[in-house]
Amino acid sequence: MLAKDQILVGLEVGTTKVCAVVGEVTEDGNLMIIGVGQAQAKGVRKGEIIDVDAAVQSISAAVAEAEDNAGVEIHNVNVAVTGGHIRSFNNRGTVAVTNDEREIGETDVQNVMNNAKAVSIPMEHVVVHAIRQHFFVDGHDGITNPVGMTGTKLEADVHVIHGVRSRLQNTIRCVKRVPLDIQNIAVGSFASALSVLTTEHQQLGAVVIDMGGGTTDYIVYAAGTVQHSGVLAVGGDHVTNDIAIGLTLPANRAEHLKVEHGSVDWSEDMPDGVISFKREVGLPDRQVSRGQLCRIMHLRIEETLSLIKKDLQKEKLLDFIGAGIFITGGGARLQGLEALAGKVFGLPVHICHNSNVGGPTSAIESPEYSTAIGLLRYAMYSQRDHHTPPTPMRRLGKAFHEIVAKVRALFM
Amino acid sequence: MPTPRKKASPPATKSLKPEVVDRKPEAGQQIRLKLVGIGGAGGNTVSHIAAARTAGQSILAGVEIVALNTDVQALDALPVTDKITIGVTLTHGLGAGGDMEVGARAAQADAERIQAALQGTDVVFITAGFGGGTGTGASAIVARLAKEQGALVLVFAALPFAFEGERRQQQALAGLDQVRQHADAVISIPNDKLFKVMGDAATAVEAFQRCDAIIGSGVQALWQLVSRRGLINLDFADIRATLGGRHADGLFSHGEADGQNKARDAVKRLLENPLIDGGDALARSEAVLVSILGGPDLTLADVQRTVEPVTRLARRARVVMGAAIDESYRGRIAVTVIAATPAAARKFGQLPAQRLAIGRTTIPLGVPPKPVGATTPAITAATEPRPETAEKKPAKPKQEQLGLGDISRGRFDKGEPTLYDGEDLDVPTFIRRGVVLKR
Repeated sequence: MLAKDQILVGLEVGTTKVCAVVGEVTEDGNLMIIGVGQAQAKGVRKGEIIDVDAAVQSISAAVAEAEDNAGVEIHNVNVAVTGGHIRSFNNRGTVAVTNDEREIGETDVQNVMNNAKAVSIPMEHVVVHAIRQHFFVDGHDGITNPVGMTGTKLEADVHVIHGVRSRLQNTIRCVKRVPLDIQNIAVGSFASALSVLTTEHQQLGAVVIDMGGGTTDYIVYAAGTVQHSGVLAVGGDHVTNDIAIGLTLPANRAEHLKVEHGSVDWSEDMPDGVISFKREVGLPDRQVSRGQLCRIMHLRIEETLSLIKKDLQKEKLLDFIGAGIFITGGGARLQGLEALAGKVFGLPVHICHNSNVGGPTSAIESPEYSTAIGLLRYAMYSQRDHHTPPTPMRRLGKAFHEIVAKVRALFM
Repeated sequence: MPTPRKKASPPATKSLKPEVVDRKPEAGQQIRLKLVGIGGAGGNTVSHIAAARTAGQSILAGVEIVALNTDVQALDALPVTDKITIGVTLTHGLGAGGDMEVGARAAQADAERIQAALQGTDVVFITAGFGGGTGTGASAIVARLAKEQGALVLVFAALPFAFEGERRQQQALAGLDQVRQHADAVISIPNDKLFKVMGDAATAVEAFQRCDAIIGSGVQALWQLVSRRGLINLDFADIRATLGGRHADGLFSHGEADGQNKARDAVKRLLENPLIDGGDALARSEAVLVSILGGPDLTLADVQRTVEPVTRLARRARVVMGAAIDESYRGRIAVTVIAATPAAARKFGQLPAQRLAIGRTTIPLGVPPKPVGATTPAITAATEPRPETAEKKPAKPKQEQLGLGDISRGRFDKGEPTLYDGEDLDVPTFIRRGVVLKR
């Protein structure tokens, strides 16, 4: 591996914060975080750019801070994308195995993956990920690596994530204007899962919910692979907005109440209290009911979680979640979320730490950094693939890399 | 089929009960339904239905039809037996001149005659074109009189075209507001929207016939619910409990299909109707009435397949369903939905016209369908499903969905709405759930 490859940067342009994380791949292949940078995001709404200049400034600020902290210069970044336009579905590809011995080779695997990816998505959409789930050889189910097997028909199930090209491009453009080069692009929920879930979790079945400021991204793993993913364009901003409307407060005051006093675990018999705070000079102190505050938050978050649950129910995935629900992102800091999510899903709920990385605990324990840290792992898999023989995990990375390369080609 | 009846005379099949306020039909007694067409447009509608019935259609057998107008000449021309000229002392039988005040005063002046005509009726359907004088003004009075008798009052209001001018629009909306105070449910049919569905090629006659057909099918659906023997009986009390006293805005849609997947197709057609915004309004409904009509071969599975998608959409609503059997519907299924959207929700930002939708599709499936009534022109080409409306993803957001709200989406006001199953998630959850906050 080349020395410059050892430094990886994950950049998430979120709705409330831009996070940049600098990681180093150690010689034994572990990931170490050496610096983080954060800036308040401007010009981003519901996960998408609405003001390019403001967004570029925010990105520059976050990257500059990360450079200072890590003591490196950043040229290449791995970027997370999200937004309500992102859609996903599962698809199956089929090819006939053509060589004489009927032995399945790498090319057959490539072909079947391409076949599975060749799906009809809306014109303006572009595939961001096509994640392989498992293979079938002559109809025989559940094969993770068909290379070397014999058969006449090879099928592959993939999870395809796609989004509107122009809207994905906005994020990419902003990053390029900083200017930074983009190594990889990944969907936010997928990146978060890479940082939060261990291989065991993926095998047991897990849901990662990344509650950001503008969007709530979720992804479902079962039997070791991605089964489902989705984006709801509802996030912490909505909670703040609900409070602002419900209690007739300015947005910044609502945000403060949400963070300092609010809880999403509300119930009818919850003891009420009064929160009072000072206002501008000359105006009397304002008092709000904590019960009402919590109720507003509760309704919103319960609804959001219920929508996710409903989606999982529809996909018949709830029975395959052995490890539980993993909540990350800034929203994971909401008081009472663990209890509420437990009630909604009836499954164990973990408010996440980022696993699989070393580095300062402040970064590891911050749910806000999950996506950016996950991007490092994503980049690591993609890179490793060029230098080492494929193992299942690396092949996975390789597949991503190809897709990403293709996506990038489309963007350029 | 109908023998000429004198107004207010008891029909041969029924025993008339002496009027009691808030009367309820007694056991074994048939429900009496009356269709009242008010004003020019209302008169035309009822006469279309009457004509269809005379032509031998089974449409609305047993429903009494009354026409009401200030204009003697217009009334004379109608092929309806029961006619009431109102306000002769005010207008000398020359019409209300487009002034709803005159229409209202005319109805008030002849309140006794109207009362007599409505006596003993259990369900009164009022149909009128809103925007003009008589229909706009008199409807509220008639609705009040019917209500005072204890009848369930449903109003089908055709709203004027935009090209008819702002004044008529305003007058129509004012009339709607008044009639809403008395009627149990008001189903408004924005003409603009209706005609958009039909396409430019439709002739004026076709267009008006279609409007009449829509009203006819709505009346018919309710009539079927109460008059046919049911697989799942829906009695009048259910209907009353569902729609009664809500002063709600109504939503109404109808779909029918035959063939292998008749249940699924019928629902698809019901939901696909562009006039109901892909089920958007269903999601906001608080009460939904589902009426299924099938042949003797109707299976419970068909019923389930039909009702399930509707209940799924109208998840917060009280859903009442009935399934009736009609020999002529062998191999076919017709499903009608009447939903009430709380009028209180209006202040959160919609024009009534956008929420209230009405529609009917008749679809050939291999065999051209037998229209239920002669007043059911096929409009299949124009309503050919836009695929996305049928999907669970809501139809494309329309600009007008956002307008007018005094409460709001706050900081998301200018952005694209986050639609999910017909709900705009940007609007605070507590507002959509109707949770009242103590301040």
